[in-house]
Amino acid sequence: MTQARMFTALAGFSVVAAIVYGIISSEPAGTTLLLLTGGLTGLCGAYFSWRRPDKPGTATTEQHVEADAEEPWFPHSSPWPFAVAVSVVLLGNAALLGLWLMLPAAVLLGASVAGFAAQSRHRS
Amino acid sequence: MTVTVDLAPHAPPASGLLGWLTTTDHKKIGISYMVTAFGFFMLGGALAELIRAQLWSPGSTLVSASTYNELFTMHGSIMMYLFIVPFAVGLGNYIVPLHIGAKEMAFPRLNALGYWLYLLGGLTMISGFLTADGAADFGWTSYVPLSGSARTPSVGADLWLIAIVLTGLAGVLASVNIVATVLSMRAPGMSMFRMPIFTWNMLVTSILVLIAFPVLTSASFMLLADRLLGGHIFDPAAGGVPILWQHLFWFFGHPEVYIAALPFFGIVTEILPVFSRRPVFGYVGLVFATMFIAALSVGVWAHHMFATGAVEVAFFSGLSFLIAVPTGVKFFNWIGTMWGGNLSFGAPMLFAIGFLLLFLLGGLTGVLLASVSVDLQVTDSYFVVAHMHYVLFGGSAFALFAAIYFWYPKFTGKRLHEGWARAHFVLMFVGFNLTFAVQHELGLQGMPRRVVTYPDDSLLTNLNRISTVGAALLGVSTLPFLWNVYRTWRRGELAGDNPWDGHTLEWATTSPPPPHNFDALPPIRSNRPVWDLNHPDHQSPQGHG
Amino acid sequence: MDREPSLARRRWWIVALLPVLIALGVTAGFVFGGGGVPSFGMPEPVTEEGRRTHTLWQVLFIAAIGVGALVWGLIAWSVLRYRGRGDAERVPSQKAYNIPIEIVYTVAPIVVIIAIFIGTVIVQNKNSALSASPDVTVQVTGYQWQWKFEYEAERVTIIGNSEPGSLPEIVLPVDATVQFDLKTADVIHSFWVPKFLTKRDLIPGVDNKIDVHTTATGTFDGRCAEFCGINHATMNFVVRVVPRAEYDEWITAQQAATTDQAAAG
Repeated sequence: MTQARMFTALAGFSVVAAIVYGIISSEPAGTTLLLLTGGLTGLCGAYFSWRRPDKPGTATTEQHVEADAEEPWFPHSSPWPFAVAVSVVLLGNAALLGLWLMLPAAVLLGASVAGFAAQSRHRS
Repeated sequence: MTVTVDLAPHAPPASGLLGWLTTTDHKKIGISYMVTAFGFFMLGGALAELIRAQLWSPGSTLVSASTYNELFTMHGSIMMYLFIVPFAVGLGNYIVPLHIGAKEMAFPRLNALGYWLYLLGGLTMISGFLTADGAADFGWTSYVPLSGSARTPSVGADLWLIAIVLTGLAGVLASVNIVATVLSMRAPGMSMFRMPIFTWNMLVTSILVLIAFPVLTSASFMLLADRLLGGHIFDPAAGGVPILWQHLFWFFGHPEVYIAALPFFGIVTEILPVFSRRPVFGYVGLVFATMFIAALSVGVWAHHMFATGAVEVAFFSGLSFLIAVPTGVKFFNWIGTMWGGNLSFGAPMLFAIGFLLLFLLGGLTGVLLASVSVDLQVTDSYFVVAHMHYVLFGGSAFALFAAIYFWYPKFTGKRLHEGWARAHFVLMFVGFNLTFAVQHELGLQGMPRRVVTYPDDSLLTNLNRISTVGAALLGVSTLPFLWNVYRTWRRGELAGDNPWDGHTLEWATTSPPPPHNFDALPPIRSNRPVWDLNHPDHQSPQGHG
Repeated sequence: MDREPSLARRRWWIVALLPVLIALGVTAGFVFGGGGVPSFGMPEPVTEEGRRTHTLWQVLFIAAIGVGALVWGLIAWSVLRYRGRGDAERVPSQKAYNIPIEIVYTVAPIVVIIAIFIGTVIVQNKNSALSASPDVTVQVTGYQWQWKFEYEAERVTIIGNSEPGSLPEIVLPVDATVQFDLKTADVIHSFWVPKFLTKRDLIPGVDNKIDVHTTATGTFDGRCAEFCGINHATMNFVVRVVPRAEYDEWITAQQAATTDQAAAG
């Protein structure tokens, strides 16, 4: 419950700040940003109020896998994070280097993400 | 009391370069973050030495104006985006699972992805130096219209913006991981109010990252759209609003400086109790103070914009003054932790005390800056440069070195040499104050920031020279540290599990820990389970369950 | 703990207050010993608004000295008084909270900052007030990397030339209200005369005006205070405040020079 209260309090503060700030200043950017902050933290607070994490002190994560694993799965090594990162960085730099790089970078990104997902599915 | 260990057989992790590229172990990733960040620190520091060398004499032509503008832009950008926050993320990655009795972070591959995005993004940012027109040169705050394509057509600027997006993404992924880990992977008995304060601070910092970083990323996309796709979001001639950039930047920028501070408050809160042989004083007060600081930091962004004449100054001034209150509470709690204790002064404690002395000054000048009329004199001058370095260097960086000395035995199994550490501390403390104390007066007397030179006046020249000598001393002060690390790596003394008589769970396992972190956990009934285990006659009050 | 707590423990508040009293006493010594309250590094102002800011600075600085002395004093006391003396294994008092003290040091700072905030608002409101009929109005236009000053009513223009280091000089009358109307031709700049103790940005799309009530004659440096590109460091100017008669002469001379140029050109 601490978790829910923490996020909800932050959300409440942001919304109140947004209202006060909006009335005093009529400045649209800051008001919008404060409201959005309230939205983000409120979303988290609402989730934790609805779906309480297990009793304090129990360590679990939820995994939606049909496999028989009761233990959470922590992959011991994986090439996919590096592959995804390289693809994303190439994609970003393709904005400068030219569209000829964007297409291969996007393909590489797709392949890396697929590999990432496949590793999760097969828990290898 | 034990925790189940994953004994399922698996292939041993690859070694060498391939092993590093494919690791998902939070400890290895944490070390990678910290070593990379330290490398960027050395680079950013070298740029600062060039800046100070240029400012030795008025009218100096050691570097051209155009190079100088790249120097201060990249110095600030490297220190803020590529050093201080990533180091904290790395330390959090290593320590948080240990602190809560978990065997890994919640999302190990996301963790690795964040590190690689950070490294490659950082390299993208500094690759600007290799381009014909040089690196970004408009200040780490990148104000428009100066940073628009008309005034800064260089590709270094675009590389900088892309790097912001990449490293921002890394930060968000790391923060999601930390929040998920802290909220759902605590060992039995480790309730929220028994977690170490460092972990609390990493949790709150991560939430701030989730609030702040996407705003900067969006603003960067908007500026990239203007620069590369013919957009006019910030173009006044086409109805765009330049000051919008400042609102977006500082809505990120102010939480950013707390993101760069809170983990380091947490470090100090771990070290003081151990070296005072006392519990943390006012634990609950510290938790709430951290939350208040985070909440308020979201609402004060335009105190960086008082001189624009376009913001509601009373709102921002009031909330900015208010942040001094929870920060003050923290200071009194730190003093309360030492009060009545049995203090010893190993290297971590020296740097923690250095933090207390120096951050206080930075905090006080921060309160002065919150006063609008005063700010209108000193903003955009060397007074602000002095303030920010007292909080970020005197504060966070001193705490960072405290953390290195404190946890180095846990990371490597060896102890750093105390004598070299003391030399490091003395040189750094003296060098730091020599460099930055006089800058308060430079600002008050009219020296603006980001200037390649200054008028030929004896007061300005003398103060600048003192500052440059201090900077040289600061540079020299890293040498005992680097020597210490090298020498310990070659022939360091073994540390054992708990060389400092530490209080928290990381000291309940070997140095370094095994891949699964813990073979067994002690009972967790307070916020310092290892102290309770080792000092059964002085157990902490059971409670906060 | 079996033995009677030390004097330090029983009257800890003396320990806490001592450095504060010493610091404030030293400051009072300066004040009453001659020389008035020190400026603590802030330049002597030459405008009414600057005088208010200067006084606010002095009050805030003295408060900061008090707080600093208290906290640094407490840190120094802890380090000296509680340093380990031989027995590294000894376990000292494990008291982890003290609710009354925690409440005091949460509430006391709130009281202090409320006072500072009120002072800040009062000074800022007075300083940012704009006169409906200033004695002199100067249109200030900043551009990369020079200044243009236009006295609208008098039809005088002062403009720096494009050599880096050229210093356009404007003249203003003393004991008068001068309104600066700040505009930029390109990127963001900032109009800063350090002796006025204030600055204001020049931002596209924002119409900034500031009033100063000059109170002293003299020559004062002006700077650009918002990074604006390559020659930001040399985008300087000079303000000369003179008696009214001398100002009128200068205006006449400037107008004549303009007419001469128009006739010759």
